[in-house]
This record gives sequence, structure tokens and C-alpha cells, in this order.
Amino acid sequence: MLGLSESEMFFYGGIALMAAAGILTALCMVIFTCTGRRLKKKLEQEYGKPQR
Amino acid sequence: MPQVVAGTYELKEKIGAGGGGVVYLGRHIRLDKPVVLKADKRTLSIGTETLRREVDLLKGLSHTYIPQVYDFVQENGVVYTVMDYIEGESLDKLIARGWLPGQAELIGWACQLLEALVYLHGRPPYGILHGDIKPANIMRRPNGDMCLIDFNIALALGEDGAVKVGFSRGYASPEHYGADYLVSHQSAAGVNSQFKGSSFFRSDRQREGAEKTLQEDGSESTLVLEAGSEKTQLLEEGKSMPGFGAPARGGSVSRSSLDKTSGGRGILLDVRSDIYSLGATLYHLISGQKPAQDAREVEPLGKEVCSAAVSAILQKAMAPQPGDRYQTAQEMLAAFRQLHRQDGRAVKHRRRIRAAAAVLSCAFLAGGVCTFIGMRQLQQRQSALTLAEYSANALAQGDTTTAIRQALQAIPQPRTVLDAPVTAQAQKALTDALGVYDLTDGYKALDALKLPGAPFHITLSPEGSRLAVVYAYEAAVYDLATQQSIAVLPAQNSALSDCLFVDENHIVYAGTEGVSGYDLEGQKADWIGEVATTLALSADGQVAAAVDRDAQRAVFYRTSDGAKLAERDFEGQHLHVPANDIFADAGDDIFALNADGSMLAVSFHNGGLWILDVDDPEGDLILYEESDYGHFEGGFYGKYFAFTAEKSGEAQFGIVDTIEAAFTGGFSSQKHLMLQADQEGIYLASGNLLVRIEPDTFGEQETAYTDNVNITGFCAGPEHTLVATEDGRFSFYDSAARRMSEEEGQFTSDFAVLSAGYAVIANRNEPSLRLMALENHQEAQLLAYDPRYDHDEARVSRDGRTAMLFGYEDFRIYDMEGKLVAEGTFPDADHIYDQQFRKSEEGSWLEVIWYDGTRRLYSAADGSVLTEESGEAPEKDLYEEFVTERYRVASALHEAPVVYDAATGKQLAVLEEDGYLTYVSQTEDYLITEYIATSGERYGLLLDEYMEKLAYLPGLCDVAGDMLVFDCGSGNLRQCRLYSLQELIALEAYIEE
Repeated sequence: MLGLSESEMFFYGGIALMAAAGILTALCMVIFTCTGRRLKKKLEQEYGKPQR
Repeated sequence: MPQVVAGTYELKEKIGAGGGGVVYLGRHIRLDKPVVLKADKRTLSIGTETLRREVDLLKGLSHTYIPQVYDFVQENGVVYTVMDYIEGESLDKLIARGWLPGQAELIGWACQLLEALVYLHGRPPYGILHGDIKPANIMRRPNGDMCLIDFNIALALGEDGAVKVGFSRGYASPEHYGADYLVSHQSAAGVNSQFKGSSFFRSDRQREGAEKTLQEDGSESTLVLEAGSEKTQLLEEGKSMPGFGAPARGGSVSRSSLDKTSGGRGILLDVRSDIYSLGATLYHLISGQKPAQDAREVEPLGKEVCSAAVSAILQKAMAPQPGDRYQTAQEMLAAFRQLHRQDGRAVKHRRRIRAAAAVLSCAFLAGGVCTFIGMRQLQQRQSALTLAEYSANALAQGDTTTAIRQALQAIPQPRTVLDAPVTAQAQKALTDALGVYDLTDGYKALDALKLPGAPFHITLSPEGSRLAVVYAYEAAVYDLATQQSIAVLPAQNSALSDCLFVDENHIVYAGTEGVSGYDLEGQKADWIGEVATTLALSADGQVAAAVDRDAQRAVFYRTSDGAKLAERDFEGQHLHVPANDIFADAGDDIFALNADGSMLAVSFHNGGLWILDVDDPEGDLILYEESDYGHFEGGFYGKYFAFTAEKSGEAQFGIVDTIEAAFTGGFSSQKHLMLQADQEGIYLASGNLLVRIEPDTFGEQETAYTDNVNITGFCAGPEHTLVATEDGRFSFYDSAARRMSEEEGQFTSDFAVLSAGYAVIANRNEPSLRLMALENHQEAQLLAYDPRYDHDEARVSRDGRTAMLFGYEDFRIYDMEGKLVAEGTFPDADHIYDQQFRKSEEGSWLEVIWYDGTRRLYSAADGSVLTEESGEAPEKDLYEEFVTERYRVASALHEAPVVYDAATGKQLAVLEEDGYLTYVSQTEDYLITEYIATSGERYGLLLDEYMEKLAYLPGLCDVAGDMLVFDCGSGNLRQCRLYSLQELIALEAYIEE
């Protein structure tokens, strides 16, 4: 498949997996930051500013 | 006139009154600061000292959300407590106005009030209870902050005489109600037992102290709540507690009084009572509904009022059982502070983040591991490729030991998950190094022998089992079978030094002490003669002649005992000796004995060439008295002496009959001539041709022909001839002058010696010898045929009974016994387009197609024509397709064959380009391709599933089942099976053993 040897599959597959994980991490960070802010806003509306 | 209290405070107006007393707005006269003075009604019932102690305690309080108590003064029998004037509005007034806070604001208030409670409850030594938390006792400052006021019933827990109880209906905890609560819950867990678990009491001793205070404090006033009122009032003696049965004697709620009057048990308040009151206050604030007096009847707040989490906090704070409430204000404060964190949506959000982080981390880690493994495997693969290349180079140099070792290094054993798969190149290197598929007869690489120095002379023993080599300062003898050194002897410091075999076990060499006879078996010198460098030995091994460098005489020894047989004077002449004889022997001289040692041929520095009669100087033959020839070669073959003499641009060859003393013939040439004349015969090489010359008839017989390259050296043996050429190659020819094999060397072969079983190749400048051994593979023989029959292909029939050898002219069919079964010729052979040998379940046959479209099938069993038909003339592009179980191989003239997947049609690989594909077969997962190279050589390639070469199959002509069939060209079809990698490794281990 793809004309790659087992070693190349490991190497390039691993790099692709790492890259995908990195990209997804960045994507998740953006998504979770947005949803987190939205949630924080909602919670502040309900409970007020977090008390310390 | 305003009333002045204690000369310091001026009472300005009455701003409130309650159970605890009357509250005035006052002014500090000197500071001109508004203060609140609270005239304590309890002075009527409790002692001044008690009040002072209480107020002293309150004076020590300092917190943002509680007022600061400054002073305690007495005026006209009234005790005033002086404290901060708190601007703002009490929460009960807000409620009365119908103003209710939102949930967020309420939480903020709750946290502030709880902070105040945490402060109060934590005051040393035992904490302070507010005891009467309700909206009326909470001020909302102008900035929105809360302030917990009215400490008139604040309780200093655990301090003797300072603990008091009181309650406001709806806000007071069940334990405030004391007897009623306890009576109604008598069957349940005892209050005291619950209180024992209170975190407030530091120890049982403290708790007991507090209880004792209540029991002994019957004279102190008690606060009771009027029915339907939020006001906290002092309970007067003899009055009952509305809604709670008869009061205790003296109105005390001490345990003793309760025990005596109502049969109930004493009540202790703790921080949980304040928590209940605060919860009830918050409940009222958020819902606008005052909580039910009975805690059990308090309705939980619905979602329309507040969030479920807030409702749960309030519900827990107002739990009827103290043990079910928050045990400390800090705990309740934490619950409010954790609202954000504990919210289900926030929890879910965090859970999602953690899950995503875990998954992505795992993916990243897995990717890292895969990358690491892949990188390691790629490095290993690269290393394996390098080692395989080194192995191939070592094999090309004849160093099979190194080749095998390096090939094995390229194959990790055992293989772990971190190790790369075995590369095809490594397997091919091992296969090539082991030579398992090379079934041709001939001299095959044995090993490379490292020497301490570059060789000067190399000699093989008569039977070829041993090798003598002379290099700087030493002469060494090796056993060729084991490549082990037998003897290393000190030799003359001259490149002219010789070492010759008398027989397999005896040598004569130019030792440092003199020419020596040495016994290899006994490892001792047999004899030592005079100092000499150049030696000659008679063919019978009986006589040795020796001469030292430029000495003008030769000495003759008997080799058996070293006895000096004779001396011959050169009459003032000497051999041609280079100015520096330490590094190289130019080999320009003749110094040779005849078969019995009676005649010595010597060439001299002045160009003279004499044949000396050892015993009779009168019998000397002088071929050249003097001449301008500078290079001589020659030797004796029987009675004949053959020689070449060369000078610039001219070479002379001649043969002399030493018996008849007659010059039998010769010729001159413009080319360089190389001569070997010994008991094997007279061989002369010129250009690319080596011939054997019959001295009596002067007839020439071709021994070797080297195509387009000139011969640089040769060695003719009884059965085979070794020829080195200027391109660095060296070839072996059989007695019929057919080239058996050809090897490639890195350097020109200056030394090429051959015996019955071994051959040695070396270069003057390289301190190593390339050893080769004669191999035959009779054990692999399938059948023998007439080697003179010239053919292109050989195929074994499907039933394995016959083999068909054919070319474009004719064919022959042999059975497996080697018997010729049939033969025939093809008509109109010049117009044959193609030939294909076919095997099927019906049988085997040769399909021959002519350009005019005629197609005939010849039976492989008897050669008969099975069918003959005419069809369309074939295309001239020689396009062919080979189909196996898994692959389809398309081959067109002048194009590299292309392999396709037979099922999907997807292109898999492009095969060898420099050969013409003749046949393709598949065995297991291997693809075997057969080619004809442009040089005419037939070979096959074993390919793996990735179409990478696993083995080179020289002479492959057919694949019969799982057996490979090789046409060795020497009249033999041989076969062997395919070897797996493990078998190859096991074979190497076997060879190693």
C-alpha cells in the first residue's frame, strides 16, 4: 500500500499521527477556549463572579 | 438636650428596639463620629460583669462584614454597648419593599456573610456564635456589601456564663426550639449525641464545660421569640414559650431546667445553628418566602427560584438534623465558592477537555513511538543496505568470509519489534556470498588471505594443496583448505627471493642464511646452502639451482639432502638485477631447469641467453651471446626450450630442441608476448588470444580467447586455464577453451597461479591474495547432455520425464538418464518469430511461431509436431505477457518488463532493464524471472513480493515445481530448491562449524 515499506509506514505514519494530534490539539484548544468562555459567561450570569 | 452617656457619647435618636435592648444613633463627642449605642435590656436580668465580659469579647472583633464594637459604658444603671454606625439598610426592609436579589447577587452576599461567620466561629478560644441571624440583623451597605449586626445575643461558646440561646421564628434552627424539637425527635438520635460529633467542640471536656454552663446558669436571662414576630426578646420568668409548651422555671433553657419542667433534655447550640439561620435568611431572600418554622416543613426551592445547586446548598444548610448540615461555615462557604467548579456543565466541560487531552496525548505518544520505531528501522535498513553493499564488495574481492559476516550483520537475529524487516539486499548478499544458487562448475571465491606485505612471488604446490608466498623479509606457506599458515620463514631481503615446492611437504627457499630445504611436516630445515636469491627447480624436484643477485655463478643442489651437485660459472655475466631489488622483481630473466635438472637456461644482463649443460660446459647452447633484448621469458617442455625475448616494439618467440641443439622454429611480433613453458606444455599469449603450441609441429591450439581485452597474465594447468585481462577481470577456461566462469577484480592481476584444485590471484601492490577453489556440483545434477550441443534454452517437461533443449535452429529431447530421446530441426528457421515452452495439465510442448503466422507445437515427450496451424502474422514488437497466479508481467522489446497485480491490474514494479525477459514463474510468494543478457548470459532473479531481488540465479533455465533448474552450459542440467532465509542462516552456521 502506497509503495511504502513497513519501516517507512512506521516513520511517516508516526509523523502523520503526531502532526494530526498536534493539529487536533490546537483545534481542541480553540474550541474548548471558546466553549469555556461561553460557559464561564453563563456561569457568571447564574452564580456571579467566582468567589475567592 | 440630647442625653450624654459617660461624658463621651451623645444619644441623638432612637433608631430601633428589640429583645436585646434599645438602639440609639449617637455621636462620639470628641471624635465627632457617628456611633451606635445599644442599651442592653439584659442588665435587668444578668450581671454587669457578664455583659462586660461579653462586650469585651466583641470589642476584639474586626472584620469587614461585622461592625466594630468600641466601648462598653454604664449610665444610670443602663449598660450601653458602643459600636460602628453602619450606613445602609437592613435586608428585612428590602424584603418589605419587595426587592429581592438575583441569584448571583445572593451568592455574593452569602459568601460575605459566611466569611463573617467563619471569622466569628473561629475566634479564640472557642468561637463566637451570632445566634440570631435573620434579615433584620444584616445590613446592606451603600456599596452593596453585607454587614452582620446585632450581637446582643451573640454567644461565646464554651466560656463560662457567656453562652445564651435565643431564636427568631423561621430563622432559628430546630435546636433553638430546644424541648419541642428534642421531644419530637426523642426517638431519633439524641441531640447531645449529635453534638458530640460537632467539629466546634475541641474536646469532650470543652463540650462538658459548655453543658455545665447551661446547667448552672439558671439565673441568667433567656431570649425567646414571640409568636408571629421576628423580634428576639428576653424570656421573662414564669412565661411560657409560645408554641413550644411550658417554659422552664426561670425561663432558662438550660438542660437542668428543661429536665425539671418538661422532661426534655438540655440544648447546645453550635456553628450549625448559625448555618441554619443563614440558610433560612438566604432562603427568604431568594424566594421572598419566609421559611417554615419547622425545619421539616421547609419546601425545597424550585428551579424557577434558583438553580438546583444553590437550592441544594440552602437545603443542606437548613437540614433539620445538624449532622446533615454543613458542619462549618467554611464548608458552606466552600460550597458557594465551588458553584462554578461543581456545576454540571463545567464538570462536563472539564471532562471533555481531559478526555480530549488524554486521547490526543495518547495519539501523539503513539505517533512518537511509531516515528521512533520507524526511524530506528530506517537507520537499520540503511545500515543493512550499506553492509549488503560492503558484503558484495568483499565478495567481488573474493573475501567470502567477510562477505558472509557482513551479510549476516545486515540480518538482525532474532528480530524484535524495534528491528527493521530483513532487507532483500541483505538476503541477496547472504545468498550471493554463500553461492547456493551458483551450480556452475569452476573456480569460486574461497577467501581473501591477508599478507603482512605485498607479494613478490607466489607458488602453488604440485598437487595444489599448499601455497608459498614471498613478501618482504619472509616466505610463508599456507594450507589452502584451511587458509592457515603452516610456516613463516625468514627470507632474503630481496624481491628476487624465491620459494619453490619440491613436493607437498618440502620447499626450497632463499633463506637469510642461504638457500634452504625445509620440511613442512617436521617444521625444520633439512639443509642450508650458500646464500642465494633466485632459484630454479627441476620438474622432477630432484635438483635445485640457485644464484645470488648479480653473482656470476650458479650452484646446483640435490633437494633431498642439500648436497652440492655442481657449480657453473657465467663467465663474467650475471642476471639482470634492478638497481633496487628490495621492492619488486621485474621478472625480466630466465632462470629455469629442465625436467631432470641437467640443463639450466639463463638470460643475462647483457641480453645473452644461454642453455648451460650442468655437467658438461661443452654442451652449452648459446642462443644469444649478447643482444639488446631486455626481457626474457621461457622454460623447458620436455626436450624443448621455448623462450620469448623482447625489446622496445619487438618480440621474438622461439623453440629450441635441446637434444638436437636445433632451433625448431619461431617468429617475431610487434605485440607483447607472454610465455609459459613447463611440463604442462608451451603456451603463448598475445593480445586477446592464448594458444598452446606443439613444439614438434609448431601447431597452435586455442586455449583462451578474451574478446576485446588483452591478456595481462595467465596460468595454464592440465585441465583449466586461468587468464587475467587488462580490465581487471580473470577468467577460467576448460580444456575445450570454453569460458567456465569470469570474475571481476579491483586491480590488474599481476599474479595468476593455478593448480588442480585452487587458483590464486594477486596484485604486486596489494598485501592480500584472492583464493579460489574449484567446485563442481555433481550432487545437484538432474541430467547430462552433450555439451557440444549449442542451444538457447532448456526446459523440463511438466511430468519431469524429459528435458527439451532448443534454439532457433533445432531442438533435442533428453530423458532424465541423459539419453537422447529425439531431435529435430525447425523449418525456415530464419523466419521464426518466437518460441515458448508451455506446460499444462495436458502436457508440455514447445510452441514455435513464424513471422508468417504459422504456429507449430512440438511435443516435449518425443518431439513430434502436435499441431500446426496458420494464423495472423504476429506484431513485430515482440510484446509478451506472462501471467502467474498473482502477477501479470508485460514485456516489450527494448522496454523494461512491468509487473502488474493480476487481480487489480495495478502496476507493482518495473523489472530489470538490461536483460530480455524470457520466462516468468511464481513459487509461493516469490516471483522468478528469467533473462538473457545482452552478453548472451542466461540468468534468473528471485524477487520478493515487493519485487526486490533476493537472489541472482546464474544459468537458471526452468522452474519445475519448487525446484530451480540450471543449465550450466557444461553439459549438465542441475537443480536445487529455494532456500528460505532461515535455511541460509542455518547453512552458514553449518559451514562455520
